Amino acid sequence: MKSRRGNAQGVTPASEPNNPVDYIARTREQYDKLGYPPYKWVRNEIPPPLAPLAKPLSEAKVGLVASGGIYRTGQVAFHYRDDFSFREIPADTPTSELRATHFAYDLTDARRDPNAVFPMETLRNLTDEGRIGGLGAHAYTFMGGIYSVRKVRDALAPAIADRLQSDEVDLAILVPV
Amino acid sequence: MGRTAGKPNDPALQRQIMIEALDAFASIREPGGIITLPHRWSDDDGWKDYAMRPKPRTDGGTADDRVARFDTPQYQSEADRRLAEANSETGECPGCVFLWESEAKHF
Repeated sequence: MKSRRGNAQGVTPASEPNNPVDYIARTREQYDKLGYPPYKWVRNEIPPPLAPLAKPLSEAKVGLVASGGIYRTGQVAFHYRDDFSFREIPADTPTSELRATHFAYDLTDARRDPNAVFPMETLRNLTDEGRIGGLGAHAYTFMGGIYSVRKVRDALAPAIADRLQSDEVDLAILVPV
Repeated sequence: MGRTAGKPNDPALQRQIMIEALDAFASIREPGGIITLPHRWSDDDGWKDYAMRPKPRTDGGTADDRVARFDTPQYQSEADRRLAEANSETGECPGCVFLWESEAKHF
């Protein structure tokens, strides 16, 4: 993927409104201004293997994973200090029962309409339309503001991968925030 | 960012984004492939000036206005808290999966 750099402030002038914000530069600048040592980015040297989809979408079972801190009312909410737990959200959960909690993004949109960060209802509708074959029995959600690389790489991610495989989904969509 | 699957209460846009994501399973051929979608976050790009930037303080320093990293569950509402705590009293947290440190293997 080509990356396009903005100017020194990390944003390009209004003449190029589609250029993305340079978050790496901004993060460095923020940590520096707040007097913290530089942020240590994770480096993954080996690309993940790409598994081609073996069947048409209309026959595929789709899994959903989301990092926006979504939970269902009745479940314990996430805390904000490296919470590496996750929640199972049944695929038929009414949108009205979904909640969002996270420290690192503006929750206004998610709390107004959870589909903005957790498109389960959207995917249910696509199943009804016949665009996809079906949904995994559960979606999996977590609060992605976790500073421990080890906890994510060695505990959380493998646990979710195991669940997706048990659910026998053909593909999974991960929605960040 | 807060609306990665589409603007709130805009099911047509949300549907379009999911369709584009699903179609990418066929069109992306390389690991790490990225497709740029034509949708705009908002009509005005002014937010780009403030994203990931600390607010300046009146004394000329920089305010750390990030949300504190509380170590207790942060509920969206008090009603949620009461319901979760009532469930906890009977030993339930339906669909909650808490992993243990020991599951995070050490190299």
